[in-house]
Amino acid sequence: MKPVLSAIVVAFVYMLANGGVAADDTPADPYAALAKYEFGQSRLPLATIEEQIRKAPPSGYREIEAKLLAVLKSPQTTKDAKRFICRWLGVVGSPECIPAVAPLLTDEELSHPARMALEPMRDPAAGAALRAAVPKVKGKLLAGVISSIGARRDGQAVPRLSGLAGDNDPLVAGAAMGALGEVGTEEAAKALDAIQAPAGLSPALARAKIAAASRLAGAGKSAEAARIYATLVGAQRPQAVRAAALKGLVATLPRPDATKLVIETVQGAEDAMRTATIAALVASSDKAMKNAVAEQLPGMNPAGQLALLAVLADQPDVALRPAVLKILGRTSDVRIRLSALECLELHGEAADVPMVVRLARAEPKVLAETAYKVLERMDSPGVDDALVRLIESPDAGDRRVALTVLASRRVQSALPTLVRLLEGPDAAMAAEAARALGAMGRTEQLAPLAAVLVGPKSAELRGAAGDAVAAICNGASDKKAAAKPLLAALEQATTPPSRVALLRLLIYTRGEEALSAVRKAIRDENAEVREAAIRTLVAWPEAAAAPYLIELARTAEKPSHAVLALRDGCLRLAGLKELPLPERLSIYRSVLEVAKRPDEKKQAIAGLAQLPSLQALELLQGCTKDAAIGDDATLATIRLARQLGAFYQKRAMAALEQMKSQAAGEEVRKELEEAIRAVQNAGQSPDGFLVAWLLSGPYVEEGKSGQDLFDVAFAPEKPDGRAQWRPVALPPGGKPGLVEIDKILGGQDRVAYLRTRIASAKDQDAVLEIGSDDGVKVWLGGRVVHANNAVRPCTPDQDKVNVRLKQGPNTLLMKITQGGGEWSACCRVRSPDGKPLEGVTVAPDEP
Amino acid sequence: MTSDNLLGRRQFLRRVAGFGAVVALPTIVPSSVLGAAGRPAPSNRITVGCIGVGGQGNGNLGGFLGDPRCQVLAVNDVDRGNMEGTQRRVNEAYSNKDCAAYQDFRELVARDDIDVISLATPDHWHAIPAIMAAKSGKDVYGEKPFSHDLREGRAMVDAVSQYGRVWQTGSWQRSTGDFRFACELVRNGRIGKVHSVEVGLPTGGAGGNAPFTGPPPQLDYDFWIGPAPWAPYSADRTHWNWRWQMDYGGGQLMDWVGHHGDIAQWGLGTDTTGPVEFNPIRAEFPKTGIWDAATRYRIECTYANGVKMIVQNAEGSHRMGAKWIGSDGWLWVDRGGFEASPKGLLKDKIRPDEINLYRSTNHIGNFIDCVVSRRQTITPAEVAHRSASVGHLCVIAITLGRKIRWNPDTEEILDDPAASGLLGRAKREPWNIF
Repeated sequence: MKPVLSAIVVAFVYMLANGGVAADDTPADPYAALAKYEFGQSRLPLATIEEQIRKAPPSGYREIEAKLLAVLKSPQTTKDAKRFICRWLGVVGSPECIPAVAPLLTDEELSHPARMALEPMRDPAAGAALRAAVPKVKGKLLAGVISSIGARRDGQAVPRLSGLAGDNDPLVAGAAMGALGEVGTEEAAKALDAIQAPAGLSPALARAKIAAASRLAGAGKSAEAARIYATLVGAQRPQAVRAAALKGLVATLPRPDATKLVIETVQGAEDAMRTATIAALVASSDKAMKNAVAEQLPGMNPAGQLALLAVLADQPDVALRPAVLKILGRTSDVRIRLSALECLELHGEAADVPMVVRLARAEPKVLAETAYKVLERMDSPGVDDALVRLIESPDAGDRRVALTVLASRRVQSALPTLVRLLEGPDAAMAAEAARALGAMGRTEQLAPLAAVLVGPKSAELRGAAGDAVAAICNGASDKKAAAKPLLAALEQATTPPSRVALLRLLIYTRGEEALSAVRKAIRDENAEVREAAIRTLVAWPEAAAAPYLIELARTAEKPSHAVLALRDGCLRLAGLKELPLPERLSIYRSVLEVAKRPDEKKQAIAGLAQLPSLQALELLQGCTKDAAIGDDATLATIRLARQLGAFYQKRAMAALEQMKSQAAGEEVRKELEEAIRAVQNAGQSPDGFLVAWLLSGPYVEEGKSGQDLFDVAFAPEKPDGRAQWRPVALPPGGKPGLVEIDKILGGQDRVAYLRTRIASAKDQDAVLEIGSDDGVKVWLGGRVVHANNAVRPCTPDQDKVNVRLKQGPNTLLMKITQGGGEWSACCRVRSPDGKPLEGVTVAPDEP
Repeated sequence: MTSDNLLGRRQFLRRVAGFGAVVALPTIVPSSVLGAAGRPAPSNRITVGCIGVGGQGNGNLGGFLGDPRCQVLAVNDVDRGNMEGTQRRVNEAYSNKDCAAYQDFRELVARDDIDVISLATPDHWHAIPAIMAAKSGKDVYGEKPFSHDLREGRAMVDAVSQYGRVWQTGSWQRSTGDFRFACELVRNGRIGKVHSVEVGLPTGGAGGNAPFTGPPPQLDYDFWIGPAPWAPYSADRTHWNWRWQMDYGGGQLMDWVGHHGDIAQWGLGTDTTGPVEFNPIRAEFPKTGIWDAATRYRIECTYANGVKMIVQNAEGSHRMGAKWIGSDGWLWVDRGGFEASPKGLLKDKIRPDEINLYRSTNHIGNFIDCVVSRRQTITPAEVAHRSASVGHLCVIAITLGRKIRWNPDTEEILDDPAASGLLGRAKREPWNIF
């Protein structure tokens, strides 16, 4: 057939199949199309009707219902259409539709859809229709009708359900029992009582009774519920049922009986019943009962005490404290003491603090640890004050505990007391106070701590104060404010030891002013101070120190100072990864200029070899001619060129070729050859995964999903397109070849492109094993070789694409779409028989 | 019976605790407390049965195989291929041939020697096995979203509560990364008074155009359909892609609300309640193919105290994850992503006397800890039901295209019978949730 004609035929057939399609793709009369609908056809008419329902307010439902009913009643309407109609009558339907829907309850295939219409319908007529269907159906269909009756909790169905519960078909009988449980009225409960179930159905009957009792309890009919539960706790019942019944009993018995039951069972021999009782107690809102149980705690056996203490520990509204204190006073059983102690976290009061502090020093260790935990978390009013008072206790052990806990609780109100102790006459207390200030002090406490360093105090105290200052400065967010009191103290400090101590601490505050003070101190008249200042400068954490360290290296009288400045100062700073690249480069450059010994120059070379930058490569190349360090520089240059080769192939190759021309030794030539080969193939891992790419993106278009964008051409795929590319290398140790675009670009409903170049020694066949999340389109040498607009997670060999590589360079371009969630791709090059491909190197061109 | 043996074996426990606690203390029960180091003797192990062993089920299985306190005794799947493959995996892990395999989950649930169930079926098959397991005295590790409709969710919570079971939901984000810390920062007022939280979930995709064919011979397709409405088999219907079909799943919205929606509620402190209003701003649905769940969606939910939760597919400035916005700043958290303003919050510390949320660093480990101690897990049934409910109500709102008003205490939709009808689904015979 001529192409144009065949296209018309196809369109016509399509139109017929879809009930007439309007120009904008919406069916002209979706209800007409619906009537003929069968699974396998386009859902479009159904989706259109769903859209109409979505746009209609409830007042518009009558009209839609009428249209649906018209189709439902028509004799030509397909079964699959009726499925759809019934389902939506469950939303838009009214009692109007019952006469048409109810007869479907007897249809093998449409019974469930009919129930989807009737079950949610509030009108009692729906319930009547379901009840009326009962005598007309058997087996599975009857079980289904019964389940809808149960779901509606139709009290009027009880007599009928009661009869069905004795049915010979266990499927029907079981469903009827379950339905009675759901109905859960007194009448239903009586009906369940009267049932004599065969052995196979007695679990179902018991569960139905539990359900009924639960409903009765929920309706306030506790006595009736309790009666039912009581019939189900007997030892012959299955464990699960007994536990549920016991739990129910505790909730429904009159308080004195429930209390007695709890107290008895919790101390009883059966673990499962104890657990069920506990669960019931927790779920109960009867405060008076819980208090009554708590009151009896001290007299209970260990099993009961353990169980109850554990669970009541979490319950703030139970008056547990008196019992806990009694138990702690009486029992020596460690497990019980532990459980009781833990209760004080929620139930303890300020008055209990001294006792718990004493326990924090007692044996066994597990008790002491728990006591600490309790002290840290006690919330009652006055606890902080009680702890602060203990700071000044005559008992050293108590003091220690109090200080530790206060620090952990970060109690600000303790700070004045701590400062008072710090400045007081008792040196040991002062040292403890200093340690506590280290844990919880703030910038405001730096002045008194610094004053300790300036004054004539014991070594222990000075040490503790110094540590505290360091800790506070480390944690301070405003380092400048922290520096102020230290600098002020430095001004006041007259003795060399005090100046030395303060200088050393300036490292923790950092900042311009502190650095300035350190530089000044390098010219101090006292040699000790000068030495301390130099060491502080050498250890300075900020790059701002670098120029001064270089100056020091140039001008230092002692050669050892010069070495310190370069090695422990500059080179340390240059090695900090968080410093910006240009700063690190600049420090290395200065070190190379100023260093007198080859050792420091070699260290600088080693550092430069780690910097992924072309300037570093240049600097290293510059050093290769130097006699003392030439060999080191050569090897470092080779190493760096190899690293950079993945993205700066041209320049890396140029550097390597140049060095080849001047290379002397055999070893070096060998390394060069290897490096050249590696750079040529930098884009590929040993097992064929592509590991270095250029990435361009993201590309988006308003209102279009990732899938929509599959066929929208952006710059990278246009012959004259100009796009921005960035190099992406896969870190070692991740999933082989997996490019996680979501981690680099992020976002939803967009696309990105990956590009690299495969250089082949000859024309040959190859296979690309591709994985993508979501979809992928692949060009090789400018031609589309694969397209899969998928929505899927990425696994390595989802798509295998046969390609033909030509001799020379073959540009590989992949477009990856993103809907939502993860966004990734991977590609592996293999020969057609799955083995590694010979004669192929891969590297992206330069961006 | 099972529970009896379980607890009797554990007399060496330092404490026998209760479950369903009103306030969950943040504790880790160290395994050293539970007994000697090393693997317990076979009679002391917690026995596990796995219902649904496709992709996620096998993932979870790894956690159980890796916990020395457990012994996996049986696996079940309606797909014989999945079933037999997983059976082999278990036997290889234990170097024996003891693992049983069932195509009918009821045979597994009927076993008295199985203590806990790992449940990873499609959503439409969550409620029935869960309720059966609870009512036969088993504890459950159940996948998210908790339920396929709100009413069955409540039935599941009630069954777990009435029968005193331990439940853990597969909302594992609570046990990893920065999620707990982020919620603690929010709960302790670090961003001031919270006025909204943005919940970003993935965008859905259209599709499902594979032709209808007979089901593959290893799949019991009628059983797979189970309580859902019958429809013919296609390769796009089952195994992973059921997620995009409302008869079995709930689209990306329901698939992910149990992660980021759950975290959002945790940060708001609304674990046992939910919003009172669900206002659908926009929703787009596929027009063809059997994948009918919404692709793009935005629902603005409001809590009784005025706080707003915006549930939206992540696009533009609305990112995947949860972002709380308050009077003094904001906090955003996702897997591998954690940002705040002011930035310093990321380095802040929560004091012991502040709100410290439940600490768990291993989601399956926490479940087993609680199976032993009977304490509440980090994502118990009620909590999971509430985060799933947010999802269900959002779905109802976009399905009907109008604002839904909800009473979280009585669990009723106000003044809207049609919407109320969507809270539950009639189950296909012979299945029901009694």
